Amino acid sequence: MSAARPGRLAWPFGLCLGLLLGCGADASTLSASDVWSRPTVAAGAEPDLSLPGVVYLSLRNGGDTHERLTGAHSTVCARVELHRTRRVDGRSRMQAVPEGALVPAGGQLELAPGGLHLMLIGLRRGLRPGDSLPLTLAFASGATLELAATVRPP
Amino acid sequence: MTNAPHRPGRATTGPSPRPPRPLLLGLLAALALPACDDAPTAQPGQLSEGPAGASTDGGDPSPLTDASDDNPGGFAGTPVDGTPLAPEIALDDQHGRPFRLSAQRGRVVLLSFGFVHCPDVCPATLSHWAAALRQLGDDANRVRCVFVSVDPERDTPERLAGHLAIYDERLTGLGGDEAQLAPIWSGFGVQREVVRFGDHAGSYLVDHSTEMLLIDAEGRQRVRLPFDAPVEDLLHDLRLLLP
Repeated sequence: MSAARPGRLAWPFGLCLGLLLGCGADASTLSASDVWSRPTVAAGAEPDLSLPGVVYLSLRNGGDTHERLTGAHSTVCARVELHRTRRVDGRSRMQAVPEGALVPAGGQLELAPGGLHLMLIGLRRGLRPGDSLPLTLAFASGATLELAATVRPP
Repeated sequence: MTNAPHRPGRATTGPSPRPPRPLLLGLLAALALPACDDAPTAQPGQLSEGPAGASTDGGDPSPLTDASDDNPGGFAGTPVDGTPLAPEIALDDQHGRPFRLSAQRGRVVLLSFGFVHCPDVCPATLSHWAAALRQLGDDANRVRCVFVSVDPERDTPERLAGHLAIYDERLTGLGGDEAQLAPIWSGFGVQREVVRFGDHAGSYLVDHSTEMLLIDAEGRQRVRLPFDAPVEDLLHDLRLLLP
């Protein structure tokens, strides 16, 4: 995707500090960036809460053991599912990924348009550009990662 | 637990979490580059799960291979063989106004099939359409972006209107009942399948053909692009077809 991101140069310092001070050993090896979502409602319009939301992000595993992203939840919706879009002969097929997705030791996992994504089901409010929505990722190891996804302009 | 550090300026990479396949990428690059010399933004990697590799016939890297035979128009997308006339579409748009595809002659039509509850694929297409329209400036008056529903059960005119307004008021959304839509799906070779998920009766997605189709000002089907074709590719091919 080519959407521009605002510079967030101030972020890493405070967040790294928080990570050093406040984290258990598991979570400190996992980090996320480019955590973003899409709007579900036009400016000035009433939200249609039957529509799903989506979250994309880039996960990094700085540890020396594999991690598996197994689930997520957010207070903005009833539930979050990991889905994957597969393309076959110009056709797109959406599949739930209940087994989760591997974040290899020392490696990355990309959740990006046209591939893996988190689907937000049963939204409690419309998502508008600039909104921030809380998200907790859960891993098979028991680690969790608390994030904030920014709703990007359409 | 805390927030993780954000790394500014790191671009989101391609759609697949799997490692790239160097051989396929190399083949695609070899095929694409000679045909896209004025489309420097063509990104073969983004087509790695798409249909673009269909014409790899042994991977002979000979420079005598005339790639332009595969792409006589120099399009970023895949040219449609024989440029057949597009079938008619006659439906009401999201505002209740009658729309006929045959009445769009003189404009380039960007056509895609999708549904409002589509979480991943359709928003990628619509956001790229909106960006392309903005960048076209006045030329956007000679382009019509048309999104046809594959979900007659849920895609009411109100839903289509609300959804497309997120992206750009100039987008046209067409819905109808299944009897109206089915001939259009088949006319454009669109496959669709309703897929239930989760434990909610109303939870379903519609697997569907997601390529975009460019129809020229004479109503002929000219170019297909993947649903997430970069805006630069869209602009490149739209400008080649603008009357």
